[in-house]
Amino acid sequence: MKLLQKTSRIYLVMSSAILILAGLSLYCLMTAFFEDEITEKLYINKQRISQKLANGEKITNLPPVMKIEILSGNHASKLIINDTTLYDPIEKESELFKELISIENINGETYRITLRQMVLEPHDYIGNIGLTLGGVLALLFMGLYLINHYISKNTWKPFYQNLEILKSYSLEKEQPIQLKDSGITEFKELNQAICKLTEKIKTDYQTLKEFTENASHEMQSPLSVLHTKLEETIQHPELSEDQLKQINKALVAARQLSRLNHSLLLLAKIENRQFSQAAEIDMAEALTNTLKLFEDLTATKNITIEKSLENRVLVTTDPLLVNTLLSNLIGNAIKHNVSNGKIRIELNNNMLKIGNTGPTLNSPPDKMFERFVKGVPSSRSLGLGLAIAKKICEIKGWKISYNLYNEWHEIRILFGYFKE
Amino acid sequence: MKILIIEDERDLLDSIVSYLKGEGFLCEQAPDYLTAEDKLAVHEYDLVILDITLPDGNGLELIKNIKNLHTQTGILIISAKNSLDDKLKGLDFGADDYITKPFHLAELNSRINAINRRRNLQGKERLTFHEIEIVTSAKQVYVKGEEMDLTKKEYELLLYLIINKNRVITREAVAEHLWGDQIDFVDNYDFIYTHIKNLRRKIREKGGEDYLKTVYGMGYKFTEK
Repeated sequence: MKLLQKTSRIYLVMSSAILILAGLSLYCLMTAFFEDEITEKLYINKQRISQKLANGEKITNLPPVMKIEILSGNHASKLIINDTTLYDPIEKESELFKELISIENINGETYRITLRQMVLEPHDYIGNIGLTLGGVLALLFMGLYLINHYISKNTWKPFYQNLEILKSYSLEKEQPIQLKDSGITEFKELNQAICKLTEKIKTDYQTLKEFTENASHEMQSPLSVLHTKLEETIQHPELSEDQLKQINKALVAARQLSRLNHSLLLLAKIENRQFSQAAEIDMAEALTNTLKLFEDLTATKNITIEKSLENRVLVTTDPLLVNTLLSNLIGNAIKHNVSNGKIRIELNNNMLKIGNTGPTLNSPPDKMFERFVKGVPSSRSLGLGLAIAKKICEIKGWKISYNLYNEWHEIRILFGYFKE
Repeated sequence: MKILIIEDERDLLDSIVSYLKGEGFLCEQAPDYLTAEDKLAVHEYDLVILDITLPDGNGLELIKNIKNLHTQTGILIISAKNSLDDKLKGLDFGADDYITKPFHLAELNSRINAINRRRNLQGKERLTFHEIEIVTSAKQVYVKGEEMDLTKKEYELLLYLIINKNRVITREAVAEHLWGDQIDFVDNYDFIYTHIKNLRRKIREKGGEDYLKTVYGMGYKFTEK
């Protein structure tokens, strides 16, 4: 629920409750007020009549609202007020009346004065009260809607704009985040907090990336020493077979470490966008060249390659990036293939598909592109090839995905999926 | 052949020097930029092996220096950075080849030989090992004067083994020499055996001796013993 919806909703519930309460009290107040007024009027009229009778004036009856009778016999003075229902011949319906009966002695005669006043019945005005309040409520709703609309259009506008900026912000970007100023203190404070936070994260991220790169560099020299010293050692003729085996294991491990190092370095460089050379590359040509490089490996495994390559699929990028990407994908397709397996490559203007036969993988498909995830845990593989491929695709704004269709492992790259 | 090796990592420098001396090269060493500059000012070398990341100067500057002083000197760059940028710059400045740390000493030796063949012998070199003779310019191999029919990989393998003769060469070094970066996508080295086996068979067929010894659990050695 949006913030404005939420506040409006609370506001509406509250104002409805208040209006209902106001209606009820208005009704009670009015009823009491009318009753007081009528009673007072009846008293005053009775007073006037008594006055006139005392002056000896003749008063005409006006039933049912006024009736003056002379009573015979002795009666004590009395004043009664009650409610009564009478049939009104003019309105032709039963009406509620307030009735005042006064028995009093005036100039030696006993009079009974009956005064009646039609009462305003609650159902006569309860509807009007309801209608008026309903109208007020409707106006409130409308006002609220318009105000909210205005607020979200204007006052909240910078907030939503900044939200969009934040959503599309990437730490890889060179410039610091640029948020819109709204002139509203809370938003301004939020902006400042965000700017500070992103700057901090960015610096940390940069440091981390530089660390990876520097660490990789610094590791190469000791690794080289380790490597060459071991290679020198194996030249000694008096080494036993067992010793040679041990040294070989150490050599292989040193080599593995340096390959890992190279891959991490490559990944860091791609992330740091250090491959900025731009050239127009024909993908079909690049694929054919890459396949040629792997000819020997495919021949050894006796892998059949089916190609369906569209010509003139051109991309503009650093050639090293495309070559790395294609070698990684084709290399993987060979490496994770079975003997006498197949590789299917499809290229058109929208996408590149590289599929291969091969045993089922242990890692979940959605983890395939993460670092150090290996299809076969024990393999010599570093688990960085697809992470590198993904990084390259990210930089190019391409979308890379993995799918398994009836024993076919397929890597698909959609070109131009995202805008660069 | 006189070689100057410029490398700030002392241990690595020692290993390179000792390996190359074993190959019969005349080696001089410079552990930093200044020493290298001094040596280059006084002596002329056939080849300079240069680590471009030196503590007291940029190795790329040295390439310019070398090119100005002695145009005949070959240059082989060693770098810890596997960066295309450095590679292109180095080659642009006039370096002959580029090798990334860590490298196999056998690979370094093979590259030095290749530069030497191109620069000093204009590719007219004939490499011989007993009855085996390689004409590198034509990429032809003769056993007892008879030409052998080798695939490109078999030829490269034989050349590599003969250049690094009498040394134990690891399977990894062979694989990396023949297949370069593609080796990252290999799960075992079985396919090397095929090439080795074929090469042996072809030499034997021409009446050559089998000089290729398998060093168990390690690799190979091309030797008469």
